[in-house]
Amino acid sequence: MKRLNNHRVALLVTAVLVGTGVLVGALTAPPGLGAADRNPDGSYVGTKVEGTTPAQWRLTWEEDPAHAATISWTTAVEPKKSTLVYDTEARRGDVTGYRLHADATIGQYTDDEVHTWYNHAELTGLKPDTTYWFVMVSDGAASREFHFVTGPEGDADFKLLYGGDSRSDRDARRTMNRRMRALLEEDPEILALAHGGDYVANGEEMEDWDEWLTDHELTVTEDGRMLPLIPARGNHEASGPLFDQIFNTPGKKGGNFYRTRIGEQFLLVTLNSNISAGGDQADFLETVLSDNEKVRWQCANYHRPAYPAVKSPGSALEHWVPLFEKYNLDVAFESDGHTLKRTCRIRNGKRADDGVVYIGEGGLGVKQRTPKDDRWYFNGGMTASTLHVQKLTITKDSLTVESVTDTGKVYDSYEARPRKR
Amino acid sequence: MSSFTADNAGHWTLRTAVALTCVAVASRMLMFGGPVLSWLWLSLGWSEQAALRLEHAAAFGLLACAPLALWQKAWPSLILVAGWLLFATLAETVIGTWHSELTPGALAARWLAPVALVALTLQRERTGEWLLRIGIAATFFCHGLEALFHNPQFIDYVIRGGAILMGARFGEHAVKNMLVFIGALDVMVAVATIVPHRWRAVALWMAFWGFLTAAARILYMGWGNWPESLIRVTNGAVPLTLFFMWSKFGVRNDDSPEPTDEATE
Repeated sequence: MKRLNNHRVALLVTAVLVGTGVLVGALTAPPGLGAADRNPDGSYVGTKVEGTTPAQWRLTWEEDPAHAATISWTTAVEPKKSTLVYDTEARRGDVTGYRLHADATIGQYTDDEVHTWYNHAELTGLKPDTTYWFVMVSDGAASREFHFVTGPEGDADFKLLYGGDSRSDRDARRTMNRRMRALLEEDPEILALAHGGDYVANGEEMEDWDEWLTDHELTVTEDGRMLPLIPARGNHEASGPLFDQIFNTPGKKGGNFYRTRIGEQFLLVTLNSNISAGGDQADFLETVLSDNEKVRWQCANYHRPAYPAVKSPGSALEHWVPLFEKYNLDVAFESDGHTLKRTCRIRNGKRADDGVVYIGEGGLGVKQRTPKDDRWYFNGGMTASTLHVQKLTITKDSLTVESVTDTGKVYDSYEARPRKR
Repeated sequence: MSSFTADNAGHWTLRTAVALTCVAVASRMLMFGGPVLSWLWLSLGWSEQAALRLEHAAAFGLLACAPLALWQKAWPSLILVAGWLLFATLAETVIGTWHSELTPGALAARWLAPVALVALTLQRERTGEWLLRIGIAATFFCHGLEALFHNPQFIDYVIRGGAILMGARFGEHAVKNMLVFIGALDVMVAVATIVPHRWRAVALWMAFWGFLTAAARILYMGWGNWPESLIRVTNGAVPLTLFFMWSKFGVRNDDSPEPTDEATE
C-alpha cells in the first residue's frame, strides 16, 4: 500500500511539474511576427517548357563580368543544337541579324521525375559596360530578344542587389521577384543580383528548381533586360548536382567558391558554407583578400551566418571572420536566418568603429522568423521580420546598403566610407 | 531517490546524462530555435506563433523533466522526454540537408537513453542494456559514416582543434585522410558493441571518444556553444554506463551469467 502511494505521489508530482512547465512555456512564447504568412498569388505560370522552346532563362556572372557571362535556359527535350545569337545592337529578335553567336553545351538535369535539359552558352571576350542583345535558339525554336549590361571597367559607380532564401513560399518569392524587377526598371544602374543561397526547399529535386526557374523569369524587365545572378550555394542546395547544372558550376566543381571583380574597386567573394570553411576555402579567402587588399570596396557573400539573428553561428565565425577583420572587409552578406538584420561594426567579437558589418539573413520569399534582437551585436544595428532585398550603391565615396521590403519601402540604410588601405 | 553506490554507478551515470540532455535540448530550443519549429512552420504550414508556442512548451516541459530524471519513481517523465527527443529527431531528419538519412541513427544514443533508463528503473536490466548497446552502436556507426563521407563540420573541427591544441595548421586533404581512419574506427567499435561479447575496453574507449567529441564543440566555438556540447553528453555517458554495468556483472561475454530481465515489482 505504501509503495502504491509512493507511486501515486511520484506520478502526481511528475504530472504537476511537467504540466506546469509546458503551460509556462506555451504562455511565455514570444509572439510570432509571421511576416510572410500572406501574399496569395498564383497568377504567374511562366513560359511553358515544351519541345525545344527556350524557357527558364537565367544569366550567371562569375569572376569577370566585364568580359564574360553564361546565359542558360531549359528545354523540355534534348535539342540537337542550341545557340545563343547576340549583338551590341538590338535586332528585334531577327535571328539572322545578330553578328555574334555562341554554341551552348547541353545536358540533362539529374532527376528521377523531371526529364528536362539545360543549355549553357558561355560568352567570352565581351566589351565592358556594354548592352548586349540576344536570342536563345534551340533547334530553330527561338526566344524573344533579351538584353543585359556587362560589368564596368575602371573605377566606376554602379549598383547591385543582394538577397537570399527564396524557398518554400512561392507566392512571396514571386512578390520579391516582381519587386526586384521594379527596382531594376526604376534604376538601370543596378547590374546584378548576388544570391545568398537556399533558392528552393529541396535543392536535389528538379521539381522545386522548375518552379524557382519559372518564377525567376519575373525578374526580367518589361523591355527584356535580364538581371545577372552571382550565386552562392545554400544548405538546401546540399551537395547535389542541380545547383551546378542550373548555374553552370560557378567556382570549381565541388567548391562553388570564387571571387568577382566588378570594376577596379569592388570585390565580392562568394563562399560556400556547405563545405569545410577552414580548409581549402580559408586558404582561398586569404589569398583573394591578400591579392586584392588595395581594392576600395570588399564584400563577401555566403549562406550560414557568423553573426546570426536567430540560429547559432556557423563555421564562418571561426574560420572567415578573422580573415575579414585582418583584411578589413566592408560588409559580409549572410542569409539562412529568414529575417532582416544588420549588425553593429564588429572586431574581435566586440563592437568597434573599424569593424565589419554583417547584413542580410535572407528575405527573397521564405517566411520570415521573429529575430532574437537582444543579441549584443544588434546594439547599434537592427533586426526586423520582413521580406526584403538589399540594394547596394557603390560610388567612390561611399558604399550604401538599403534594405528594401516587398512593398518597396526602404526599411534600413547603412553607409560605409572608404577605409585606408 | 536511491543513493549512489558503486553498484548502481551505471544507472546514475545514465540518469545524470538524461537530465543534462533535457537541459541542453531545452536551452538550445530557447536560445536558437529547434528543428520542430522549422518543420511545423516552414514545411507543414503552421503559423509561426503556434510552432513557437509548442516549442517553448516543450522546452519548459523538458526543464521540468530534468530533475525528475534523477528521481527513480518519476520514470513516466522519461517516456515524455524520449517521445519529444524522437519527435525532434524526426523533424531534423525531414528538414536536414546533409545526409539527413543518418540523423535517426546518429542521434539514437540520445533518444534511446531515456527509454533504456525506464527499462533499468523497472529492473529490466537486459532490455536496458541492449537498448543502450543498440543506441550507442547506431550513433557511432552513423558518425563513422559521416566521417567517411567527409562531413565538412568534422573537417573544420579537426582543423580548429589542431590549431588550438597543437598550434598546427592541418591541410584539408590531410584531415580528410584522418577522417577515413576515425570513421573506420567508429564503425568498428560500433560493430563491437552489438556482437554478443562485452568488451569493457571498447565501452571505455567509446566513452572517452564520445565525451571528447562532445567537448570539441566548446573547443571549437567557445563556451557560448555549451548546449551543443551538453546535448551530446549521452554519446559518452551511454558507453560509460555500459562499462559500469559490465564491470558490475563481472563478466566478459554474453555466455556468462546474465543480468535478469524479470521485473521484480
